[in-house]
Amino acid sequence: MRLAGKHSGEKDHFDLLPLAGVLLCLLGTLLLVTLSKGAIDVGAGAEVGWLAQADSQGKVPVLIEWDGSHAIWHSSKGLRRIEENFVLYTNSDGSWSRVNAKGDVEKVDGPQSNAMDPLLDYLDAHRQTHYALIAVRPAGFKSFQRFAARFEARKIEIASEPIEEGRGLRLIASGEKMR
Amino acid sequence: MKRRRRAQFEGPWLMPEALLLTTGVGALLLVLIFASLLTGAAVLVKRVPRQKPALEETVWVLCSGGRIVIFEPDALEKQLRAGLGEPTVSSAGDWAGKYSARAFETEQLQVSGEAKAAVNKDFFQSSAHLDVSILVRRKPNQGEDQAAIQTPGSDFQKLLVEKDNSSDFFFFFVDPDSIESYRVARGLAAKAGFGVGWTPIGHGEPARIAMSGNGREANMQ
Repeated sequence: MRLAGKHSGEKDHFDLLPLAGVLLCLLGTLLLVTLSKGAIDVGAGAEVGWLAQADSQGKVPVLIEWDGSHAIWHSSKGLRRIEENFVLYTNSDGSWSRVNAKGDVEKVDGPQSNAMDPLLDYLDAHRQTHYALIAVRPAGFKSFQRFAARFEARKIEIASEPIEEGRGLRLIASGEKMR
Repeated sequence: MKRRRRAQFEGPWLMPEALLLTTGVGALLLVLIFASLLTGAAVLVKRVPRQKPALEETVWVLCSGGRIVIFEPDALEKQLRAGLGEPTVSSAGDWAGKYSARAFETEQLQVSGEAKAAVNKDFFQSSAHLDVSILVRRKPNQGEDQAAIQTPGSDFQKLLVEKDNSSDFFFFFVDPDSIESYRVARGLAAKAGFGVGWTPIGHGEPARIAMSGNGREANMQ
């Protein structure tokens, strides 16, 4: 910044043009940053809050995001990302069959543990009071029926809703105060 | 005695326009920062209902390419079956092949058949099981887009008036490219008091409606 003091008789002058330029540049930058952040916050990047609709049974939703390859379980301990391998074990008249990712069926001695088991076991144990609320991302549309079949096979009640790719999501407790 | 006047010092002189501009921009900035801080934690609230079995008659809607079309699987399947006759145990395989080869177009839709036959033959008894489905695609530029759906007098809104919300419910097949159209249509149907349900389909894939077994069961939310 050039600060030039001019002594011209009775008046001292500062040349303010560079100062005003720097100031306006600074303000412009701040404005751009603020507008960008605002656009992200209320635009496509805005978080969505889902409020489970109350019903007579008063069941508690357990939010699960599905993107076609992973399930994200919104548990009380935080987010848990679980890989889905689409391997399903079925029991018919005491004999176990394994359905692999391609849909081929083969006889097996018994079921092997699966990464999805903790989630399914949790929902199974809380079947009377909880249900699975599945948020389906566009990448998960095609395989959703197979994913949902896991829950249906264990008679776990489900609800589902589409959600845009990349959009944040959280569940809102019924008593939570909205800002 | 004359006092010599001292040179008068004047502080930095801001042009009135610059002062006005910087003050205005500063105030705007403050407002924006405040608004941004408030909206930063904002959430868009959606009420998400649970799924329950639908007991009513189903109105089938396909959402793809940002548009929606309404169709009646029973009428479409009747056209696919026309002239094929009833399958028997001995003709099940042949019947399935012919059904799968069938296709036709309506003003808005491309429809084709899909059937698989499983025949069990033993010494005493033979049986055949048929899995029959119809595949429905929307023809390009057919159907109503978001704006059209919301226009009073649109085909969808006419249907909402024609149907009975105590006996009919709307079931949507949704392509990932049509989430917004689905939401708009579903919102109108729900507002009109109808039960609604949906199922996702892969991008560009047809709606597949099973016409045998329990395949046509649709759940509403």
